[in-house]
Amino acid sequence: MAKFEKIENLLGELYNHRNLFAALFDKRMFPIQEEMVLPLVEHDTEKLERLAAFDLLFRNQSQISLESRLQEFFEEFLEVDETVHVLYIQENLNQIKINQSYYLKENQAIKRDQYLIRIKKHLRRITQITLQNVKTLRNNTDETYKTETNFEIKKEKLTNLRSQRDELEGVIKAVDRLLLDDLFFKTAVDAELLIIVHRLRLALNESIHNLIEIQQQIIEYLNHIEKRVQIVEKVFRLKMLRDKHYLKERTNFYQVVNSIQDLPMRKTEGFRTRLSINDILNDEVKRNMVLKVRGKLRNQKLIALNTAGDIPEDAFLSQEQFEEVANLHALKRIFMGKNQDLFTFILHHQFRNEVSVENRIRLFCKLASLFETEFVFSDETGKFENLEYAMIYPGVTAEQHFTQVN
Amino acid sequence: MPNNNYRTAEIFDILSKGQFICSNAIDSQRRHLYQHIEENFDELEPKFREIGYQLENGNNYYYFSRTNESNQNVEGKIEKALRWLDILAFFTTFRKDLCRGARFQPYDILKQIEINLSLKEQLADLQKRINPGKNYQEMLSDLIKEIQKEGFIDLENEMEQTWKILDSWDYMEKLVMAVNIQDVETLTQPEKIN
Repeated sequence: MAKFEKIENLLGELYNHRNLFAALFDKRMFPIQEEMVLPLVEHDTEKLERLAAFDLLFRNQSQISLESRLQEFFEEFLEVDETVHVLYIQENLNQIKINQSYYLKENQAIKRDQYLIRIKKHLRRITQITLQNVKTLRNNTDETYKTETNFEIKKEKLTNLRSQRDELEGVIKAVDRLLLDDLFFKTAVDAELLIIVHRLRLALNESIHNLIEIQQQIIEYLNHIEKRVQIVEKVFRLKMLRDKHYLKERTNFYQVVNSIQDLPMRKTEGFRTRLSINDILNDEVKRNMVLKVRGKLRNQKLIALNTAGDIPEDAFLSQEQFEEVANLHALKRIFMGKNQDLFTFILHHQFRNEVSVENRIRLFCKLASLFETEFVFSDETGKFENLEYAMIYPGVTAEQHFTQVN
Repeated sequence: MPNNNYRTAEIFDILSKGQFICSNAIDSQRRHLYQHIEENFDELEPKFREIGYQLENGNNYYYFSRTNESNQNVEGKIEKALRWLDILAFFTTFRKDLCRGARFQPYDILKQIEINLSLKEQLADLQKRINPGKNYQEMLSDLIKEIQKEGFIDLENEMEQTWKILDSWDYMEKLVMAVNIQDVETLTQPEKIN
């Protein structure tokens, strides 16, 4: 395995292929085919081989990915780490304890300083890692709850997050205890250590507060899932009972539903409202609407539907009744040509049908009143049975008649 | 306030049809109505009670109930409740964590249908009475439209066909949770004695 002689070489190599590394880092979640990155190395597969030889890339068959150390390095610096590293803190804590012990036993000032520098380094690391871990844990919790669609996995993931959280809390408390109890940190040897310890304690304090909140969040999520589990189970059990027709027997489903008075459960009932007649009369818009509806009706088949059914048989039986009506004008014309008085004429006129005396008298009256101006009423009267009637003559011949009589 | 009266009428119009007003409705007008009820519940509730409707406060949704009821509706209610149970079972079979606020795409359900026989049968059972002779895609889209009409889901993104489960979904779940199942043990015990 090739090794870099100088750090400049490593940095130079990384810089030369920065596009390639950036692309690989962006796609670190998925396997990448080698052909896809070839344009980034000028289609020179030897370059890829070289990078792989230096352990910067990992090649497996035709797939390619970042070497895991490099990936972790990037993730940590860009603060996009998705895993919670509880052990890192523990490891740093152990290192602190070891170096502290060396420091206390060492008599040479130079070496003591070296141990102190290491202790400071690890303390700083703990500050970074702790804050990063808490942030990651929080993100993971929310993300798991919101995006994980598989119900069982979601529950398991959250349970794991909970134990991660508990571990993290344990480690943080251990660090905190060390800083609090150990005289070495309480009476720090120099101002720098004092500041570092102070910063770390602030960070730890903040982390603990955050962890408490995360715990509440996780518990809430888990409770929620628990509730979902209950609902899911209930739905399935009821469905099973329904499919086996046990619902009525073994549950109070029908009673429960029966007692519900909520509108969503019911068939919707429409309201019947009437149009306000005042509105129809006074509102121009509504009046136009009425006309529009009327127009539509004309076009529809409704008219066809409006045709009557068969004509009933009894409609063919005639129930007509005739009323005899004499043609008064024709009678008058005939009378004008006669030399008779009106009553005698009417009484003896041959009608097509038999006309009773009473009707003849009626006709006499009708004619007399209708053609009053054309007839001549004389002063004489005649008698018929117990009736007394005026002698009426046709107008033109009235004078002749008089002369004849006289 | 004429604006408020207008809203009261609109609220009545929706709720009296047996619909819900949800806090997470897609339609912003509906969300405003929800807010309006939330802010003026004490004022609105007696108003509706006076005309025989009880304004009910669900979990982030509102609906009406009415106490005076004729018995002839009972059959309809039971039919509806049974159908809801079937629908709930169908969607729970599809995804166990499907609850209010969740989103789903019909495409995903169709994919599941291909590999999940129980899901397939449930869908067929749900739709066979209403429209026989349709394919699964049509059956599913009819079912989805049906529960949209009932006010339990709404289309969030038409391009992606993403549907959102509204708060009213909780109503169906509550109904299910209210039912007591007689334990098999207590049921079998008398048999043992016999």
